[in-house]
Amino acid sequence: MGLEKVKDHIYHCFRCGYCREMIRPQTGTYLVCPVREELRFEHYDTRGRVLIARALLEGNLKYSDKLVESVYTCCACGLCKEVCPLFDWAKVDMPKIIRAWREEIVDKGLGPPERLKEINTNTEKTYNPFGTDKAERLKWSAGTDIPRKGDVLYFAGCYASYKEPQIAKSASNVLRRSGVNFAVLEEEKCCGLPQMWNGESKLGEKFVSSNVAAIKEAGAKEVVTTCPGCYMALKSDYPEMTGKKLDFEVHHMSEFLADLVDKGKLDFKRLDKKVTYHDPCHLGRYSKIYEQPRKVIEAIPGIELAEMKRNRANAWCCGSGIVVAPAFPNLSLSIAEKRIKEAKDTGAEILVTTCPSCVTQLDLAARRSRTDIEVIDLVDLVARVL
Amino acid sequence: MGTHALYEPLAEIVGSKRVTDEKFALWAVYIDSGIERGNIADIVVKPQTTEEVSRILKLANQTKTKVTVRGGGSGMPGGCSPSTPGGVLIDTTDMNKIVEVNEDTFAATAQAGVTHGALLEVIHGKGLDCCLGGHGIYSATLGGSVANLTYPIGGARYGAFGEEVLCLEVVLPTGDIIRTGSDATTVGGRFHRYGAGPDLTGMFIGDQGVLGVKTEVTIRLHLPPEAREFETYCFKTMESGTKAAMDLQKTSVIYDGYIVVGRHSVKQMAIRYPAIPEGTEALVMICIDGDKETIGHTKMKLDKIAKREGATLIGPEPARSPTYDLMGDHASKVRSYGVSGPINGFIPTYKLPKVAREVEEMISQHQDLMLTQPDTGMKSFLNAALMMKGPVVNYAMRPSFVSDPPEKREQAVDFWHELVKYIANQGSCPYWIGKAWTPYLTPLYRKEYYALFKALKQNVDPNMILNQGLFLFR
Repeated sequence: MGLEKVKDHIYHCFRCGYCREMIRPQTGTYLVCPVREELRFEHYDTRGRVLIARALLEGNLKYSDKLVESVYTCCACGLCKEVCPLFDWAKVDMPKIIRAWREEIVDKGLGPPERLKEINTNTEKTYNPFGTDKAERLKWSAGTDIPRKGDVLYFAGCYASYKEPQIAKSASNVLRRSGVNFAVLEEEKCCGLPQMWNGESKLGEKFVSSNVAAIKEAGAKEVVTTCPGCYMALKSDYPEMTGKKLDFEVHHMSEFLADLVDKGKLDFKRLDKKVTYHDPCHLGRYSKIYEQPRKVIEAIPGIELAEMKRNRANAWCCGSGIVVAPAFPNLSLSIAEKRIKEAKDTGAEILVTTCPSCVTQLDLAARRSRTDIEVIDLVDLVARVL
Repeated sequence: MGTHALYEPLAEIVGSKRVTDEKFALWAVYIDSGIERGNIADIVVKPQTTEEVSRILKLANQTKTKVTVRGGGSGMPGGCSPSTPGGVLIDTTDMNKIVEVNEDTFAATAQAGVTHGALLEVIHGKGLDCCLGGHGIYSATLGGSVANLTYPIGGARYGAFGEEVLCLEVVLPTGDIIRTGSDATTVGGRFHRYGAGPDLTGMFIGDQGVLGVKTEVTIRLHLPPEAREFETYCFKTMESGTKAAMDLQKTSVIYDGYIVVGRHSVKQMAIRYPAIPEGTEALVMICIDGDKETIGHTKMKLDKIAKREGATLIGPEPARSPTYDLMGDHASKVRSYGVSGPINGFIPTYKLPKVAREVEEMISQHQDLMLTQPDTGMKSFLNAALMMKGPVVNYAMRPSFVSDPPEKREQAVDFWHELVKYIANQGSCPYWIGKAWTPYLTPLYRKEYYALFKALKQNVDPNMILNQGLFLFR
């Protein structure tokens, strides 16, 4: 368990340093580790983390509070894995290492850091990491008569339900206006991803089984999410954790919308704006969904899509890192501010993304840095032009 | 707040955010990319300016504290890790400013912690080009590349990376700051390496950091070529491939060249490039560049030279991959479990078949220590060489060893040392020296050379604090 479980990934590293700092214009790579770029020391980048993990595995080093804290600074954005020059089978998978590492820390009773314990207690009580009353989860759908059973299920997730309810509303509107009959769960619970990344995978598993049962009960054959975290959890983690293939398909809203564009089912109004697109880590690098959101944006008449210098597989993380934002808000926002600057440098008036958590994070960073750029989710953009 | 006695004085110099003595932070920088066993320092400090480096070294002299210097940490010989545990580790990666790209003098100056990738981005942005070197390549730092000399991409054109260095700013172990090359005078500026006295730039290149901390590096700029052509020549014997390689090198028109020798190594290449004919024992891959009008003619001349030795031409693949990428591809095959130890050193090209065959023989006697590649079932090592200027190659042997159980790993490291010793005794000139080659290279020095080198060291480093142990200096 713990680091032992990911020993192969740790020992494959031959310490070339690509993950420490690399600018390689030919591949569009302009720096690699957002945390290392902020905090500068090597124990914040993958090569350094791997050496620390080795020292722990080999008994040369013992845990300290600061070491535990440093493990929780990783955004698990996966850009280091992307640039790792090893072949796929040997690539150093730091997100995987970090997840196992945090599990080990929790198993040993050394973590998570105090600020993240609240996420666990909140989620146990209210089924969302923010501790907001569970009765408010479907507040965004007030005044609608969305059924609780159906072939297509919209899984809004905690962020769109509580923090960015306009995204859930837009998703609902877009689905309806596209003629999709969809349902929502009577009692949707957190997808479990924050707990999995917090080191509390056992708690995460509880939500997995509960959500799987609820989705089955709703009779859904297809689940659509607006959150790439929920998407990844449902699509990859759930089958892995339950050990069986699920009875439903999972799609991210951007895939769903791109399909509607292909089928000519979306009739967009003109919008004369310059926009840029931020690839969320969980949708981009983790799920390899790069082109579908762009296809939707470019299908809107009048829109000019200007790419940021770092895009697709090289996109800079928003800094949220699932648990990094609540644990280390300043670090997290500094990373986000770099991304906002990059977006602004394109001359865009709107920064579009496909993740409610990225929206919260980037919007906060735009306001903190007093940058005049609107941050919205793709589904909000689409709702605006339908 | 740290607990080490030097924490506060160092924090006073660089600020508390740039110094740490956290044990786990020390483990993150205890080793480089090689096989050599590492040691942890007591404290890591990250200066941003030359003046800060100078103050750190003055403090180290006052307290008689040993200092080890680390750049990108992507070298192989363990030079950026303390020879024995303890001391101060200067991590230069926050010295990351590009000072000047001068299009009039065709020279670029950057702080030592700037990576090749960062410099290249700026230089390419101006429509220019420069030599790109270092094992970490895009992530290798200029300072590390100077201290280690380093083989660059385009070694057949540029030679070692050090040959592209014009001027240096160096902080001597005493803390004194000097400038070399045309910048040695108060009126010269940074544009040329030679003149104005002896080549002190050269004195610091390849010194493994024992003579001073490089803080600023000036390198030569070039215009990018109009066109590039690639070819892969296959030979039935190592000897014919080597002879052809020598003749090709003598033309002085090759930009980059990569030679793979031995049936085992060629077979590994053939898995990825099936066009390589059965029975090939040597591959010679070349890249030439030049203007559009003449490059085709030049290539025809080179093809003729290769055919004279019986070459089969299979086209631009795999030669099209930049040399380093090719090696990187192989590295990913042959490296696993962190016990991969490339061995590099310059040898005359004619020696290649003898050295390569003898190394293969040594490896064949230690099969139990060699890692088996999970995807091919082949033992992990590659016998290769990179073309330098003239008929000289950088012999680059890449073995990878089993890691479990730990006793085997230790045996593998010992065997690796045997290989290094053998290659040193073949008259190889290593550029990565560090801790790995020190015990084998130093006894081979002519005594007068070593005496002069040691006298220089004692003069600039009376307390012998900097990069202790390298070249057996203590």
